[in-house]
Amino acid sequence: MTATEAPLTLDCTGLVCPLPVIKLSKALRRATPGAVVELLASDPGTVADLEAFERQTGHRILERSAAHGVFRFLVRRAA
Amino acid sequence: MRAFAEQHAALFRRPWPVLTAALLVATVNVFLFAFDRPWTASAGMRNWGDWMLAGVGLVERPDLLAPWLSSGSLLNLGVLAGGCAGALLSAEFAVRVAPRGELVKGALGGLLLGGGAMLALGCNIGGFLSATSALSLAGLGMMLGLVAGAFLGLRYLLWELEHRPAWSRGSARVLGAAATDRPSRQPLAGALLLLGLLLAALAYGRRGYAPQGVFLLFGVALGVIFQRSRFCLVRAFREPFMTGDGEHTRAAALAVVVSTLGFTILKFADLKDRGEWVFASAGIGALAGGLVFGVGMTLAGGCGAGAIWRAGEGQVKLWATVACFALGASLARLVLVGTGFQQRLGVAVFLPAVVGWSGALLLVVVVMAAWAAFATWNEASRRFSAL
Repeated sequence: MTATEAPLTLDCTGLVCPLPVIKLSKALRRATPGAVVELLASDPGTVADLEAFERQTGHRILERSAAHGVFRFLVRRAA
Repeated sequence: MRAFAEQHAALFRRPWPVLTAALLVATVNVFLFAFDRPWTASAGMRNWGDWMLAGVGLVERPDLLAPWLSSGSLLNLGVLAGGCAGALLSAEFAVRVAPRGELVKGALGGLLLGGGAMLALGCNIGGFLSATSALSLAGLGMMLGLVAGAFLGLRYLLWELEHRPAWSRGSARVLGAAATDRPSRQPLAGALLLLGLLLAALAYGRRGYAPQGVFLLFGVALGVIFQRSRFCLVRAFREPFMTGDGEHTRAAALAVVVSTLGFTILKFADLKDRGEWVFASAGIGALAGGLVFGVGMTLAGGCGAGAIWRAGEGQVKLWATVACFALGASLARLVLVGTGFQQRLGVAVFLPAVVGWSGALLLVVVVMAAWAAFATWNEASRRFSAL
């Protein structure tokens, strides 16, 4: 498996800050170290939220993109 | 041309720096007070709620000022339109449909925002930012309530995600988003909206309502600043307990200090009445109101400012919040007046009358510096962060 394939996708479209970040944190906690989670969100605030989350927790944003108002992130759990 | 393209990118491609936004918000608030009255969202919300209640015949209010003439309502309309214009100009506008659980939280949060704002005699903008700037003890009282409320609201959200995950299930449609493969027409629509707002303000002036036009434009400026920076007072109160990030807390503390300096100059130089924005809610009103408002803003994901500008950028959850904020404010005021509790919310304390001008200024600066220092210490130590 390459780093950009995520076994788990969290669809947080329609959810407003802070729910996407809390859900992501919960999923990462349950994942094994190094595992990758895909997050989909429609709240533009999620971008800055995730950057703060990355700074604070050490989990890494591997990829980010946006299409049709949906932001997609791949986040790797800290070791 | 390249220089202009770079400036355009800084304004509408990248988010504005949060500290810059905080300074701008404080400056606009001082200008607004110098012009007439400080910024608050709750006065306009109550005006809208009173119109809804009068519309269905629940109350009779022949004295009620029309929403297009009330200064509070025009400020809110401006913030709404400014949030929309900021989103359009940066091609970020889209109608983001909310799942049912989010709509319920948005509506309930809105009712709590309305109730809390009436208890504290102002929302987090009028009752905390502007009241503290006006050297009213009630502003600092509301701050305590807001900290506790944001903490409790966050604990509730964490509980809900653990025990009732279905209530915050995602997957919803996004309508009208800008296409990423070709240039969007949204910036043009944003520019036209701004032009329309400017013409509306001029039309107010021509009909002898120049102040109303100015209030609208003040609101637009605030809406654009908030949308482009995503400076967020909910984050300022909540984030130390969540990820521990302290950026918005430091920015909010700076905004309060700068706004306080401006208000103090206006009052000290007798350009404004010293009793202005010093409300009789120092006591249970500010504390309980801050607590209720703090829970509400965390559930809704938006405060007196954030609920409105986020509604403007197309977030459907916040549409429910704004409607219920207005209704909640009107209903809460009816109950408070009807029960006589309105007279028992607290006392009006103008801090310089108790501790002198320098003492009052020092108190506000020390409290804000302590808040920012706590957030910075916690950012590194993560002692209070849940995530």
